[in-house]
Amino acid sequence: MTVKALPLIVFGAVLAVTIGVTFWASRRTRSSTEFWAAGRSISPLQNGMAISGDYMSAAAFLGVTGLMFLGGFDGFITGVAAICSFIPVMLLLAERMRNSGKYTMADVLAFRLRERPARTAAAIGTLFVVGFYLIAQMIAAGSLIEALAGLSFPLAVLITGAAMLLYVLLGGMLATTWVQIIKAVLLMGGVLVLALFVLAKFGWDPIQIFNTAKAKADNPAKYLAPGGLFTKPLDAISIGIAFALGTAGLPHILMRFFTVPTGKAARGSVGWAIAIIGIFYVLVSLIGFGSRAVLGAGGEKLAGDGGNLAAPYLAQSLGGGSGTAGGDIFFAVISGVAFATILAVVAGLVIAASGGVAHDLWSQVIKRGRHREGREVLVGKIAAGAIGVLAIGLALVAGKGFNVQLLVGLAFSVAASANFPSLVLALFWRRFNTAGALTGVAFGLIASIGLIVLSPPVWAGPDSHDGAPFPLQNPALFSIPIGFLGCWLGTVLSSERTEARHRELRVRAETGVGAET
Amino acid sequence: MAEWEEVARTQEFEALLVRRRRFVVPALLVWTAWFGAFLVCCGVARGFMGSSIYEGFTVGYAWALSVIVLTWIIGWLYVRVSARSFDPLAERAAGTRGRETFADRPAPGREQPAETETEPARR
Repeated sequence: MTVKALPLIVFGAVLAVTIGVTFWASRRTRSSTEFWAAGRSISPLQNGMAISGDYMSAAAFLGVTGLMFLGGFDGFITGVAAICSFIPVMLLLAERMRNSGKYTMADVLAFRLRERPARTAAAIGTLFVVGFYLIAQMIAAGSLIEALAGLSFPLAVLITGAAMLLYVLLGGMLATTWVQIIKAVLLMGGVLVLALFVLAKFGWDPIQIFNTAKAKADNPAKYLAPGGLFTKPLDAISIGIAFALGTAGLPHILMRFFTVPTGKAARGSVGWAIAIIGIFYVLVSLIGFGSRAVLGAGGEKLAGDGGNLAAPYLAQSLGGGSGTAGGDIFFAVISGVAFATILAVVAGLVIAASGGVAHDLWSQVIKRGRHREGREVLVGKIAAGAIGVLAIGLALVAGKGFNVQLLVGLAFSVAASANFPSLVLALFWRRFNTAGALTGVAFGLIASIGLIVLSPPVWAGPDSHDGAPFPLQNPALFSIPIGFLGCWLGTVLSSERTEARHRELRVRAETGVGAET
Repeated sequence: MAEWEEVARTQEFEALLVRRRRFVVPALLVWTAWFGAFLVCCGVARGFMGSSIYEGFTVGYAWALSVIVLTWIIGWLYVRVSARSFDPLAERAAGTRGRETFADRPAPGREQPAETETEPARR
């Protein structure tokens, strides 16, 4: 594979701008609040863009486009479920998280439960979710840069990892937030232009896109109907539930609520995020169908095993085709947007994981809150470095060939099964207690990861559908109820009562009285 | 009495809980029903979802778009109702007119006992 100059120049420009922002942010990042919560200085619109940035990962853009290219309508189901998921986040969590926590979701549990076990459980849940998500994104980064710019997979993973560590170590949450905002603008711009090009090509008539795509599909009868990708009925339902409830357990999204000054601002930021991400998915649906309509069956080889590269090759084709100036430039720009997307998301993941290790495990569980202020940040940076290096290593070992949206779907199901139940019950169930949180996280983790191992994508290899003990591609349909069951079982088996603390938590969560500033 | 206990005793706080629940529970039910039905139909009613409303514009795609629109509507309504109804109640419950909303207190739940308030309970 030859090195391509134009995409490399765009990648370089993306790196230069984001690293510039990082140096600016590094002069304002010293205390713990600055490192993990950007000094609580982010406005609702900025935070809404940053949440969108965190959420519109390479999976959302390249993965959904790829799934729609390969399987048609089924690919869009994951996008619809993903935008939907902000309803429970907004109605149940956003303001309440901001009002009752400090830096991480574990703060909310620790408020009413016994501090050390509760934090330990939440931190473990955080690390597993972030781990899955991070590996998915690193694999996406590697295979993408390899295909787009001609660098080798390991080198590409190393460059991504190095940039991610630079943002987090130097600029903390402030740099990560601004990298997200820049990326959200770039991505929305790129997606909008791409969708407009697709529409223009088909005479501004979406119906034309659908029918052309259908005619060029491998299985035209199924392309615009469900069932093209998720062959078993329960597959569509399970993966839909994973996305719809998973967001409410994603540590790097929940952490964003601590970067705004008030609960009201947290709510407003979700409002902005819903608006932005909704528009994004409508545009992506046009791009997804458009990629099939334009590239046809001949694009399958270009798009790669999981279909992840359908979007940039669509851009190339719309710009005039391979070898033309227009095609090469459009290809390079969309590749650069995808690169920015990945960089921003991995940085957000690493900072969430470092909060789990340093603020929850080290500072509160091991040191019991007795240490000097600066130490927590130092430990956070060491943790971020270690996590980053580990993720780079695992991505190199795991290799490529998975569709990133499906991999991320697994991270969502772990989040929805292990984190979501105890978080919601801590806020809303009077009787909930420490044992419930511990068993809930344990049941959710074991069920979701266990079923993932037994499911076709892992047991029988990437993108296979059969020949595994657990028949579904995503475990959420079963693992989420098991997570809730664990919470209930642990609670009723333990005699600990936490109603008094719950009353205080409720006042704080609902009104903001006593919230961290 | 700790500040939060005072707040918990106000009528405004009770009203806030009730009113917010009156919005959140129905909204979540509508959301679950509409999106859940979409998922179930994607799983089992594939022919119906793939049938064309207008020359290839399918029921499934229209339904998917309607789920996104529903998300926008619920989100917009919640922001609006919060600003008009919930926020003023929360402020009155906290008795924050002329006072800091966020009392600077130590991190949750450790060592220090809760502060005592000298102000008489509001009712």
